[in-house]
Amino acid sequence: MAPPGPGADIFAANCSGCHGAAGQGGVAVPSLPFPPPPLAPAGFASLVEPMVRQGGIQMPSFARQLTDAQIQQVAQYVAQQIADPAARTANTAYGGQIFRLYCAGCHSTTGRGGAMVRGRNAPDISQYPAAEALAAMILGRGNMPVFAGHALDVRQQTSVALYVDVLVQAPSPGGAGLGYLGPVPEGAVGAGALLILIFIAVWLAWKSRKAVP
Amino acid sequence: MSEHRLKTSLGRAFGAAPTPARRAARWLDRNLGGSSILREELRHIFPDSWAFFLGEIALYCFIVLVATGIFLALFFHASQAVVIYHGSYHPLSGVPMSDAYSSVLDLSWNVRAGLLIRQVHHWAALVFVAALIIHLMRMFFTGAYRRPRRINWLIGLSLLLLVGFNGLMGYSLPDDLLSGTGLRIAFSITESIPFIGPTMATVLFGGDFPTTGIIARIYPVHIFLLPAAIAGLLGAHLGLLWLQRHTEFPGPGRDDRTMVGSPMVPQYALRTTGYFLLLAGVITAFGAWLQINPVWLYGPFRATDATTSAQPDWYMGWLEGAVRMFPGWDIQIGGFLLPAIFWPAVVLPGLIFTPLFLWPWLDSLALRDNRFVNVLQYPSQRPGRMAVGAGFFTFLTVLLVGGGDDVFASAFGWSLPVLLRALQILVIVLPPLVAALTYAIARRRSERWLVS
Amino acid sequence: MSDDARQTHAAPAPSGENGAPGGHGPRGPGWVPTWPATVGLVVTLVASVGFAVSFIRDASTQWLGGFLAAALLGIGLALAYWGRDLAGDEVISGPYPVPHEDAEGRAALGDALDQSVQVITRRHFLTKMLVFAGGVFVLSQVVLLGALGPRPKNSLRTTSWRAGSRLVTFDGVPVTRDTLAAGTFLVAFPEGHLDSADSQITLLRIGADPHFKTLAGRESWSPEGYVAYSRVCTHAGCPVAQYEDQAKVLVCPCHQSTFDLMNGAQPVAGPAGRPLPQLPLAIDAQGNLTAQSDFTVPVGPGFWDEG
Ligand code: HEM
Ligand code: FES
Repeated sequence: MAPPGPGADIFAANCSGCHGAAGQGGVAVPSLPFPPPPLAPAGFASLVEPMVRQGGIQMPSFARQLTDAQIQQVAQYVAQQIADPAARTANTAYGGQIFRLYCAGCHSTTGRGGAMVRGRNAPDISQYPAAEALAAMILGRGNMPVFAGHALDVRQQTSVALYVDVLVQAPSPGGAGLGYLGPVPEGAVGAGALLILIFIAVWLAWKSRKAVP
Repeated sequence: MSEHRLKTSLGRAFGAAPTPARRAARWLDRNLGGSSILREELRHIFPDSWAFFLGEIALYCFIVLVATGIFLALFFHASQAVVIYHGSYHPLSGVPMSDAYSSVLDLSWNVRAGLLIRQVHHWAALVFVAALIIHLMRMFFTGAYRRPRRINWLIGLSLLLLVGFNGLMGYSLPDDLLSGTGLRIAFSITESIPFIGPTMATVLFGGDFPTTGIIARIYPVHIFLLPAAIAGLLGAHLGLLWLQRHTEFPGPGRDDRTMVGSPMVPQYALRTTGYFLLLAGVITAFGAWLQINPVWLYGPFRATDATTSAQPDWYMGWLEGAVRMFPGWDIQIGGFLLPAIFWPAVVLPGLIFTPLFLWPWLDSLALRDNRFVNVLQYPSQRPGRMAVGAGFFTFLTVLLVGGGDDVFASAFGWSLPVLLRALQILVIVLPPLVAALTYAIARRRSERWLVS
Repeated sequence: MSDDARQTHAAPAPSGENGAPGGHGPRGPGWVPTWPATVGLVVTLVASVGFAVSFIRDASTQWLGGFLAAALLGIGLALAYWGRDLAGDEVISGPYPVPHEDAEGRAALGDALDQSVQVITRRHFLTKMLVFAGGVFVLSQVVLLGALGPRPKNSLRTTSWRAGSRLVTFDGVPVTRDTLAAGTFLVAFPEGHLDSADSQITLLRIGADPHFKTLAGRESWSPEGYVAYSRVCTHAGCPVAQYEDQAKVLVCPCHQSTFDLMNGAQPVAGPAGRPLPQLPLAIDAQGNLTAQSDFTVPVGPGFWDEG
């Protein structure tokens, strides 16, 4: 199915053992809690590359085995040849809309995670390469339900991953983000501003206090 | 005759050189009169203690808010007409959103200095309310609310309410996901009021939530109605303060009839002007380097979207905490429903603010002491009051922590249900405990006071 | 207050005749350095230019605000230091405006007011009419509130679901009997009402899970293991957006109300007091999921005449 080339060779040598020769996933790996997922939604090299380089929750990093150029080649190969063509029509902003409908309830609209009532807390997904989000949507994770194939089709999954990539990179002007946790840290830091102002007031009143007759 | 008076009389006798200040004085007197009153007021006495700067922090925050708010108002669109976004923030491009939200995105990404001003506006709002509350605590614990300053206590409390409410309105304006979530909860709280609730909610919001006109409705409230009311009350507050003068801490040469401090001109005027600029500088530094309310990450409000870690600004946190901690005791009364949220969200604020408003009168009734005072008390001089206050603020603090329980649980890896249960117990147990402890400590200190 | 009433306890003022507020005089005991104020003003000078330049060059918020903050802090420091250290410690005292026990004046004021009041209230009938007419006038203005919005009528009780409404996804794609596998879920809307806040539902497929309890009277509401609950929280109306798969609960991200999916979406934790209403489902001839009717109780937060 896939034309031969350096990308195909790297894929066959390094990836197909887990993800299957055609990236169909589902190859059982006894030591892993989840089967490696199919690569259908991996429609963008920008999603694949960081995953290969850094690794994810289950997947190891290939930064030692593969050169930079090889990582780029295999990422291109997966995005162009292995992934479902529908994935390549994905759209970041559309993914954001889906993210806020389905994901933000647990992971928060900034992706920084949130508290759960019955199970483990939802993790900060900006810690992982965005492709990890695809794996989680496909496989579910503990209390996280499976979205792929039911609630979300391939294009929608890929769109969400593209948006998660935005959150991972957090292109945010205006100074240091306070953990991207919303008004709670903002309030705490605001109290810090008040403390600074009180210190200044103490300084300002100090001298004249000494001068009281 | 003091040296000063000698010089002035000599000056008058020989015709003082017409400096600009003297010319200004002459102009003022010719056109407005009252120069001798003004002359006296230049020597208005201001006490020298940091505690008297708390109110000034609040006043100066208001000035910063008005200045930055006017800038924001030039660019903000109070409209919920749907637009398709095609601005600079590409992760939202093509997304339908309200004109209001899109204008805040433009303010943040395209208008020069827009993001800075937005962030300064928001930080100033947070510090404003904090300063008001600490200011109020100072009044409370030092007995500054006693006659003749009872009316000013009422005005101060009203200011706190109005400012907090205006902050809530401002938070709702950008129409991002958090804004809309807050409005939705406000709608539901209004709905919960017996008899009039449902009608009140739809009348105020212009229909069932979500309505498309609510931003246009709260906009004039946020930028005109409430700021004007706040400015008016501030004027009254400061006017009374001017007439009655500040209180003062006990000290040599000070009593209920004598005040000691710095003259307004030049020392105090220089200090407070400097302080205003320092405050503006500190808040601007926060606005420059610490991101606040990054609405582009939150996304536009849609009634189907929800996010965890959804909190109001901190000064509404105690209410949020009460709403989270109060159990779901919905009551059915013969064909009618009293939703549980009515208790923490409507009754509780009444229970908190009514005694606060009445406090000066309760205090003078309890002590049978209605004297006219100008000298403050140290907190431990009144162990009972200190205990009540400590318990009261402990209660509010636990509620405030409860308002952020999910964020704490998520950030520190705690279990949310355990934390919630702990807070539910603490909110009942801790205030009396703290009050009792405070009483014991204050009692011992006040005995030492009496001895010395 | 006159000058005589005020005493000046002038501390050894550095601003005295031979004092050195400007730093020119001898460094006597009261000498105060002026350099902090100078430094502050120089900072303001430089930072003001920096601010203007970074504005023109459209620099980042950090640069722009950093310069503005520095400019404000510099001049603020200079003035504060000036008032605190350079202007001298002039401590003055004076009397508080104590209300003098002016019993006569108070009585005279009371009399004067009383007379004016009598001029009015002497006309008993007119006074009563005045109060009455004035009151009615004020009350009559309350109707203006009606311009603000409608009374609720039915909007709080009904949603856009009708008998036969097809379930669609957020994208408008119809949900069929094959869309979900057992144990999965999605968010659905009535066809044609994708933006209807009160009609959003959580649709899940229970399959043949033995833990699922079918409530009395709802036996026909969950064809082929499909169950639908309102997604509007009965506490304060947020979308109940957290789906905890293993625990099979829905949790509201606003105040963590927790609803048991296996038992009629009853609240099991958190501040909500009532279950999420269930939508009666059917499957039509083409295999599409449809509603049998609207919800049988009002969705969302409670209100007075709902009970
Ligand atoms: C008591 C005084 C005030 C408080 C506590 C306050 C608070 C706030 C807050 C918290 C926000 C949200 C800011 C954000 O986007 O992060 C806001 C927005 C806004 N405020 Fe104020 N404000 C006050 C006075 C004013 C005044 C006097 C004006 C106008 C003359 C004003 C104009 C605006 C505008 C136009 C917005 C929306 C733009 C935006 O959100 O970026 N505010 N306010
Ligand atoms: S709105 Fe759902 S818990 Fe409050």
